[in-house]
Amino acid sequence: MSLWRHEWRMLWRDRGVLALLLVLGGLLSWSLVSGIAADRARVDALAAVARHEREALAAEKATVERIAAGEEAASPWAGSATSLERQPCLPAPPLYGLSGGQADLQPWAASVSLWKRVDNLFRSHALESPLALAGGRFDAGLLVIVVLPLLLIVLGFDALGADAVSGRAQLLRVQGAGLWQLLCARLGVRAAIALAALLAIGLAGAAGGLDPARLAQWLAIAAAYLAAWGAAIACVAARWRQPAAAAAILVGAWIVVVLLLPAGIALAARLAYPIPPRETLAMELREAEVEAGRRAHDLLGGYVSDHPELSAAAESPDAWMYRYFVVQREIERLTAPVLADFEARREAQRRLGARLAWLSPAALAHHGLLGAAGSGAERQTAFEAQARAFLARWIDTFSAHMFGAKRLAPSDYDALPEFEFVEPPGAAASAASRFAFLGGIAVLLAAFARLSARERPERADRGERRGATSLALS
Amino acid sequence: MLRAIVVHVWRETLRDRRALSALVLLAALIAVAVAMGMPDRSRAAAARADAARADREAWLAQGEKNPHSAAHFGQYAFKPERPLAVLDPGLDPFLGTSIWMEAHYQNPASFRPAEDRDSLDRFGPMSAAWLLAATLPLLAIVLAYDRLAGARERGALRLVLAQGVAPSRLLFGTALALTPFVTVPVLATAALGFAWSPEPDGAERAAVFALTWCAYGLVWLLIALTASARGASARGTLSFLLAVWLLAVVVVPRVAADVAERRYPSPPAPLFWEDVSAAMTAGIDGHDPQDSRAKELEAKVLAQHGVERVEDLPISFAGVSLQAGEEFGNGVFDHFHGAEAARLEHQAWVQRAFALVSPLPAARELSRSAAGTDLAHHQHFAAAAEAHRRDLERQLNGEMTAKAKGKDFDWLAAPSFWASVPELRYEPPSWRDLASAVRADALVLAAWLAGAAVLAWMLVRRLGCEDGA
Repeated sequence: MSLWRHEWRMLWRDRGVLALLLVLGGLLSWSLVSGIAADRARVDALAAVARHEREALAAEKATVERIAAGEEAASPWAGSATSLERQPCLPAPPLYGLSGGQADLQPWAASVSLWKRVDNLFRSHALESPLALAGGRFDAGLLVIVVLPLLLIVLGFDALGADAVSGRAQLLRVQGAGLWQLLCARLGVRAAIALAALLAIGLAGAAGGLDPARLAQWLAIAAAYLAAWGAAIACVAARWRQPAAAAAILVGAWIVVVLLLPAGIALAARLAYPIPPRETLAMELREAEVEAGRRAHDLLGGYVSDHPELSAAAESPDAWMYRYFVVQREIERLTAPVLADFEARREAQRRLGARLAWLSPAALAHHGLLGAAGSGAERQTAFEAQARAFLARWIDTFSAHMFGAKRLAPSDYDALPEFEFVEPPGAAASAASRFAFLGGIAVLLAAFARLSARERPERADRGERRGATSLALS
Repeated sequence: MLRAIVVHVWRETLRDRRALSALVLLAALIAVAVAMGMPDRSRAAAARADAARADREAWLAQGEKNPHSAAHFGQYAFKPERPLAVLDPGLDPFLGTSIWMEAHYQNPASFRPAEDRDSLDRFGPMSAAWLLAATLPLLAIVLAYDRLAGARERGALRLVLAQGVAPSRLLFGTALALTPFVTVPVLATAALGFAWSPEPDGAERAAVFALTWCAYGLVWLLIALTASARGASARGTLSFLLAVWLLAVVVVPRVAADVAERRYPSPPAPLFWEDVSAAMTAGIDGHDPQDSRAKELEAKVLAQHGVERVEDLPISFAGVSLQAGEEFGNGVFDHFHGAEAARLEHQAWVQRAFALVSPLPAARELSRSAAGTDLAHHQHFAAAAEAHRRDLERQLNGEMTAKAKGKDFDWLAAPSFWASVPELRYEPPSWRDLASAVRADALVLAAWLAGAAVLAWMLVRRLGCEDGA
């Protein structure tokens, strides 16, 4: 215990360490403040959309009430099902402030009405700043995945090597300090800094009222990931006693694991399952639109013959509206296989990316943190599917109103279908498997470090000599 | 003496397996990124060319149709794929590739490639520019961190200075010797891009790309040498430089984007469209003849033609009304999209302010501009598409006005009419056309280079006194 206390005191005497801690404190504070701001912005936007929707429906209902009371002349659109619009929204990811992922880029609100199709529910949403998107947010997830491992490397790469170079190694051996104990003490006090950062995130999350289960998953994955890095540093520091070599290996590993492998995995998934360009998809839809438009009269006739109760529709002055409606349904029918293929390829690419992520602890932890935060691809895919299902339900409910030229009564506005997002299952299991894998890596590397940290007087001396020689030459 | 320093450092570096390995690794990664990016880009370019052809065919194949229905069908504008995007995709993944030009709406560009990609891509897309931005500084650090600090630790620096070598000459010689190691990968990358680019100004763009990243690499080399000259130990210097790299390359660009977005926040899309819709209700609804503003317009048009009833007009009033609605809408969109453009401009300036603490924002903007993947190039395309949309609506409404008398929305234009409506023929701008957008970035990067050189010279000059020569 006195060794730990000594290392702790030594750590705080190092001005470089204090400077690094200051920087870390700043980054941690920034990530939390930025996360809170982003979360609030999303919650405010959702509330504003809901308020607009409520107000629009209330105004519509009030008009219908006035018409019913004879206070206002009837209009073609008042009370018509075609005037109704709902905006199903994806609730803000529960830990959006901690890990945002792609949630700032992908659609979180849809527009559902009788005028819409399954392919254009989310159209015109691309208004976010490309500068902000390209820069990305500096959130707590990024701090954990990118910054903290590098900080641990900088603090711990010469945990044993510094003694070899300075000549203190002999002295410590004489004093009976075991290498493993020394390594544990030195890296332990440094790892405490990373753990303190996680603790601060946890406390801030708890104070902010974040979902405790998700927060626990997030912190567990982050801790396992950082433990794996700590064990890797211990391993390298124990095996390579020359600081320059240890630094080169660890920084190289960091570049490969944190920067290159994630980028490579994303690229590999894209190349293995290329998604047809969206432009091609758009042209398929255009062709279907031309084709269906040409047969609009026949399509309406066919629809009416399938629904004899709507036979008056084809001759009504609103026939253009009915034709438009059946053309949209025909476009959906014609393009359903293309859209399904597109979605299947996107899903296959996503799955491959998720599988390949097991090659890089950083990629794996990143997906794990996003899953725990609710900013992952699964939740987004679920929302898009549920919004499309809601459109289908909407059309089923209100197409008969439209064809029958039925007007909605004021009371109908209180019983409109509501969209309720259902969270996809499996987030906890997925977090557990990632935690177990990262924890397993940490244990394995720690065991290897334990083996490497055995007393090797002759090899250590050789290492010292080699280190001294190489420094003299370079 | 200078020659001796250069030759000595050069030989030492070539002997150092770490430095050579880092150089080879960087070159290999760039080669892989470019080689993998080329088919991706070719595919995207081919897809857009095919889509443009298909869109024209669909337009021509509309058959008998009311011009306003055709206006709703609209046309697509596809942004041409820029050849140097293979080196630097820039903002392209976050900007739409296509604009749907339809009646009543100025749509933003849609189909952002980043939407269909894994979130891992947000760590940094595997591209030559990203690799240069992230790893060129690391290469400079590996090459330089223990050059002077290591010599000081071993006592060799005192010896060298005692032999009468001027500190500034030592620094200059070392920097000169190491310069090829940070510039050759850049020049090779730019040469690859030039060979790939069929654009008339491809050489100019490749040269700007090369100059930008060479300057960036040299800034980092000078920073690393300065830190090495001042560092008490190689370990301390390495730790310091890694921390600086982390802040300047990983943290600052994100914090800059964060600050800019918070200072000038993007409007949530649903609310933006709610506001647009609300503003549009103040104008003429071309679809609703009972609209009060349409009635006012009707009275005006009747007076112009000296008749009292719409039926007596020699033209289709519906066409006039639709065009009036478009003109009003154009004003609304100019206002809202103009505000968006101003907001982005403000964000860009906020991000530029962070160039004071990192050379990366300036280098990144210049590189994107050279590749044609920056905001200015996108806005040039979007402006061309919107101008075309307005011409398109004018022509379609004009056709309806002139020929749909008495039938209005029931009148159908002949199939041959569609061929007389032009498609958008977009000519991308040359780099010089939009160079003014990055003039400030060029100045900032030049200032970084000059500042790093002056700082290095000033700090290294004191080596003679401090190291006892």
